[in-house]
Amino acid sequence: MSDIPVIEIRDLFFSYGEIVILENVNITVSQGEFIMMVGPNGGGKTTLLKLMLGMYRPNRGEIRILGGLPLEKSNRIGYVTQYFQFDPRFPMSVLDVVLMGTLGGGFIGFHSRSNRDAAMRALEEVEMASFARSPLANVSGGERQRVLIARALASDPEILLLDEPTSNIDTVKERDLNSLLEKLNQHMTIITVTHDLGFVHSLAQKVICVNRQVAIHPTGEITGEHICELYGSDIRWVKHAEHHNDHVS
Amino acid sequence: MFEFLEAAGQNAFIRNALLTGILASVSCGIIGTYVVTKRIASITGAIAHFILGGMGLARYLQIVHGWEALHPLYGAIVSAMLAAVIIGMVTLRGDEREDTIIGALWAVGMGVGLFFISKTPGYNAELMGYLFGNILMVSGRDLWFIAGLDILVAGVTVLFFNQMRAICFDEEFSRLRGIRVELYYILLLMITSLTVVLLVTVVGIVMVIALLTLPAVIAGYFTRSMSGMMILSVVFSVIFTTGGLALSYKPNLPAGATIIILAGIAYFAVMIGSGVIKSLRRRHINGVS
Repeated sequence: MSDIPVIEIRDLFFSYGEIVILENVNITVSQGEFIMMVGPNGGGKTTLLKLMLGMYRPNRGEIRILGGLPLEKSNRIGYVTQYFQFDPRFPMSVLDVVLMGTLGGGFIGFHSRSNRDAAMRALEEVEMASFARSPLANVSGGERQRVLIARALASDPEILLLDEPTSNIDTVKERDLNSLLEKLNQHMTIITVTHDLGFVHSLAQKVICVNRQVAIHPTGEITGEHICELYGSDIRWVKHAEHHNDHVS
Repeated sequence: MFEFLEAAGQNAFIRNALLTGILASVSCGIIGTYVVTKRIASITGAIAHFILGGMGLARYLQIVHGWEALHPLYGAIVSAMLAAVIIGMVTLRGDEREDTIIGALWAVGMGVGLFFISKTPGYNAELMGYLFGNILMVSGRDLWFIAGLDILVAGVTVLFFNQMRAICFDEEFSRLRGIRVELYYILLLMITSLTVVLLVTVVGIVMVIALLTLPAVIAGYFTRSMSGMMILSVVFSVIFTTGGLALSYKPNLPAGATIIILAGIAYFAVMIGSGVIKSLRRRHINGVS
C-alpha cells in the first residue's frame, strides 16, 4: 500500500448562503485506506462527500482527487447514493441499474458489449450475478444495496464513496456488507459516511468526525469523549452483544 | 359495436378519429411511461392548461385580426414549448418551489386563454373543443402531424433511452456519470409538451393528464421493465381510445370523456384486483407456514 494521497483537501470552506457548513477542513487520504466519516445529521458529512465528487464547489480551499480536480476524476470514483434517493419499484432489471454505472457523457448512449461485461463483473464482485435479470423491485433491501455498490463498481473506480450504506439494512445484512467492503478494500480506497456509530468497525483505519469542522482519529482512539464532543451532547451507546446499555457522559 | 364498425366503413371522419386514437396512443404510451416513472404528472397538467393561452391567442389573431395562417395548433405548440422550458429551468435551478410554478402556469394559461376566447366570435364551441377534445373533427392534415410527432417521439426515445431512463431513476448519479441532466430533462419535457398538444385533440386540455398516466400506470402492474411498460402502455392506450370511441358512438356520448372513464374503470379494476391477489397470496403463504 503506497502513501500517494488519493484525496487531498486543504483549508476547505463551504457555505450555503449565510450558513457555514464546513470550515478549515484539511484531510489527506492515502491509497488503500478505509475511512469512516461520522457526525450528527446536518454536520456536513454528505456535503463533504459531494464536494469530493465535484457536485459542489468549495467557497475557499482546494480539493484534489488523484492529483486533479474532482470533476476531472469523477469517472475514477464510484459513488453509492443514499437508499431513499430513488423509487425501489422503478421498472428496471438489476443489470440495467448496474449498466447505469457505465454511462458516460456521450450524446447518444447505447450499451456496448464491453459495458455489459463490466456490469456483469461488478455484479459477480458483489455476488449478485444470478440476479442480473431480476426486476429491481423483486430483490430485498440488502440485495438492493449490493446492486447499488455494483453500479458504482461498473466503471472500475479507484475510490469508492458510500453515503449511509447501512441506513436500510438489518444487523445480519450489515455484517455481510462489512465482509464485502473488506474484500473491495483490498484493491480500492473506501470512504463511508454514516451516522450509525455501530457501523464504525475494525476495518476503518481512520474515523473522520465531521461537525462543521473535522477531527481525524485512528479508529482505536475513538472514545466516548470524542463522540460527545462531536455530537455536542450525551448520546446513548448501545452494546448489543452484551445486552446492556452504557451511557456515555 | 357492429353499428360503429359499419359507420367507420362509411364515414371518413370516424376512420380519421380511429386512426387519431391509434396514432396518438404511440406517443401517449411512450411519454406516459416517462411521466409516471419520473413523477411529472402535475407538470404535464400545467403544460396542458398553459396551452389554452397559446391556442386562445392564436385563434383570436386568426379570426379578429385576419392572421389566416396562424392555426390554434401553432399557438398550442409554441406555448407548450414555452411551458416546458420555464418549468424545466425553474425545477433544475431550484430557486422557486416547483408546485408554485406549476400552479402559476396552470392558472395563468387558462386565464389568458379564456380572455382571448371571450374576445373571439364563436366563443362556446371553440372553448368546449379545446377543453374536452374533438376527436371526430380531426382532418387528414392533422393525422400527418400526429404521425410525424410519433416518429419524433419514438426516435428521441430510441436514441436517448438509456440517458432518459437514468435521469428518471436517479438524477444525481446520472449527473455524476457525466450525463447532461439539464439537457435531457428539458428534451423530455419538450417531447412531453408535444404529446400533450397532440392529446388535446383527442381528450381535451382537462383530461390529458389522465391519458398520459392511466395506461402507463396500468402497464406497470404487468411488467417490470421500462421498455415493456412503454409497449403495454401503447396497447392499453389503443384499447381505451378505440373502445371509448366505439362505446360513445351509438348513445352519442362525448368521445373524450368516454375514453377517460373507460381508462379510469380499468385502472381501478386493476388496482383493486392486484390488491386482492396480493392479499390472497399472503393468506396462502400464512396458511402454508
